[in-house]
Amino acid sequence: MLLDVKNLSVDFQTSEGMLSAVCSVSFSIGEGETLAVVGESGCGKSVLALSLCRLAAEPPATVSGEGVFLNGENLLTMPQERLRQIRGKQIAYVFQDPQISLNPVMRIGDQIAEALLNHDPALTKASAAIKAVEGLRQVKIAEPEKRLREYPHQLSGGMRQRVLLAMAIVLRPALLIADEPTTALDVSVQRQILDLIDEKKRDGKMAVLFITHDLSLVGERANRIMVMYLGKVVETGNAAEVLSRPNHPYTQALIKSIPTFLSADAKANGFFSLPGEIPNPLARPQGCAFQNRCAYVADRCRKEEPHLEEVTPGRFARCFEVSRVASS
Amino acid sequence: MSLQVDKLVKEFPQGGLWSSAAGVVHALRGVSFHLKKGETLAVVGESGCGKSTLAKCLVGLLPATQGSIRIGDSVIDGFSAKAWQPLRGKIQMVFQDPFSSLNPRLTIGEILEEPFELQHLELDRGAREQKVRKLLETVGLTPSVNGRFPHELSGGQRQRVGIARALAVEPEILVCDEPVSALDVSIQAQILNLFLKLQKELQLTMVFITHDLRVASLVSHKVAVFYLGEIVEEGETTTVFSNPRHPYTKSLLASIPKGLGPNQNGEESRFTPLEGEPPSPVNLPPGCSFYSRCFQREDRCLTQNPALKPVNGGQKVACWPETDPLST
Repeated sequence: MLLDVKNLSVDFQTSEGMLSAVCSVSFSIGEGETLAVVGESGCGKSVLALSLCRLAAEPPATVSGEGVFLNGENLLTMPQERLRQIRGKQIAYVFQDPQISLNPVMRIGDQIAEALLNHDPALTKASAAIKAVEGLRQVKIAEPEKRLREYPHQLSGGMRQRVLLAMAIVLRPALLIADEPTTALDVSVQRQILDLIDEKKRDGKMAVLFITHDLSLVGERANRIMVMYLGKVVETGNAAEVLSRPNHPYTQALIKSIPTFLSADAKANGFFSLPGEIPNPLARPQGCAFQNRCAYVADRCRKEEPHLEEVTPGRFARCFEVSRVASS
Repeated sequence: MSLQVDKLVKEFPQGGLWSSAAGVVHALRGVSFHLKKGETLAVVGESGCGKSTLAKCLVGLLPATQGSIRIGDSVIDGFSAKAWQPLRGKIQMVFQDPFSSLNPRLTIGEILEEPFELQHLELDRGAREQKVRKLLETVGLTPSVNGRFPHELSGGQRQRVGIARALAVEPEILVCDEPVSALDVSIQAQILNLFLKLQKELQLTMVFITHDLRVASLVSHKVAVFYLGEIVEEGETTTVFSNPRHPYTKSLLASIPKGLGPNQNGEESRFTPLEGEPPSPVNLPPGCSFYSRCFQREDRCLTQNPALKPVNGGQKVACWPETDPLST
């Protein structure tokens, strides 16, 4: 296993009390695999991504758990010095907003070269520049030699996201963490960026942790899906199976809320929409966290919290009413 | 109230005192369309195609350079603030970002009362409060949010406040600039349902700007596809999306994730997804603006810009091979 996360929890000290953003999450990613983490804003998916490399500021965050093992090495207990060698080199990130992820007063080429030079002090500036050009070419940026000398504001949003991707993959990381990499982009550019990530995956053995709120993006690209709600995993399994036969009412509702193209029925009768909103993480409800929005809620759900249990081989769900959900 | 836009042109002079790069950004290049009362026009296209400039020109936030806008029986062609004043209450706008479009220091009640003052509606306190309650109810919020501040609300709730504010002066035309693209998929469906409800109950005429073709296909009666400041295809939504004629529309449709677009069965699209980026709006190409990315281009497209012409099928298209096929 490339990455093995065991019972990872992240808590934040806030003025209103302790906020549990990620509660005892476990998962693993194999070489070359794509895992999609799906959920609404506030479900803890971004905090999870950041804390894997200890990038969430501590304090206010506290990261705890059995461990985050990358090729057997525990990232939670390792010294900062070693962690810095791993960040960028073995685990690279692409963030949501390409406007704010690039340094506005530094040339594109220098920003890519910086990553290279940091991880290889023996590299000369000239050879770093050659590698940067190669990186830009890999993400299909035309005239890379010219772009290298430009500043972020001279590029379009899609182009900036390509630069970020080039920066992330130029060191050939074992794991790419993409946090909503296309949410700020147009549909057409979205597809180009996702295709590019897929292509880079096929070239090497890179694994991808893909974070998104949009299930429609992951169907054709992810191997497995992990759905999160209020800091906890509510369903995991093979992507195609989860999408075609969801076991958790939340997953089912997310799938139903994907707008279908030109649906006459939706136009006449309205779209399916998941009622209500995610509860305040500072005031977790007793019982199941999804009870106030759930179509299958029963008495037991209001008293007891369900555990994540294996429903069929390889598929887990956190729900008492799995049989009713799965059969509908 | 009907909305008629005639040959609207908006140009931004580029460069200034200290810049040598003088030029003109051609944001809108002669845009015309007509909307009857109660109709919704979806404006689709990539970033930078002039969609948002159109929205701002329509509500008078930006003065257009040339052309005219007819709102009901009143024509605006000078675009001075004075010419707009009597019409501002008739046409209102909903913005994209529910975080930055609400004043963080006003309560929701104050935000919703502000338009009454600006439009000089002399109302006493009781009447104002009653109107605010009514507005909150229309957009599906509980009266309890009245005294709260924007930061206490979720993204979906904030967007509802933005819609309520636009409705406060009882406009007849609503211009919505990407009103759901900053929201989670699950919340998107709730807000889209709200727009459908408003369409039916208030008979609003709407211009709905979005880059998401799925959203456009569900909320609109008509659609206008924008490319580099021009309409390249327009017509009934069902017609345009089920039988697209312009290569750009075809490519946009092909960019929708598999199984969710027109190709519902999961088969690959018949068309080529978009590659590359649109040309610069400063140095316009002499011929068709889509030439550089087109998969069915001909020699004449390089030198002559095609006009928007009706084709059999009911829509209008600006494309030489579609409107004037070469006889072979």
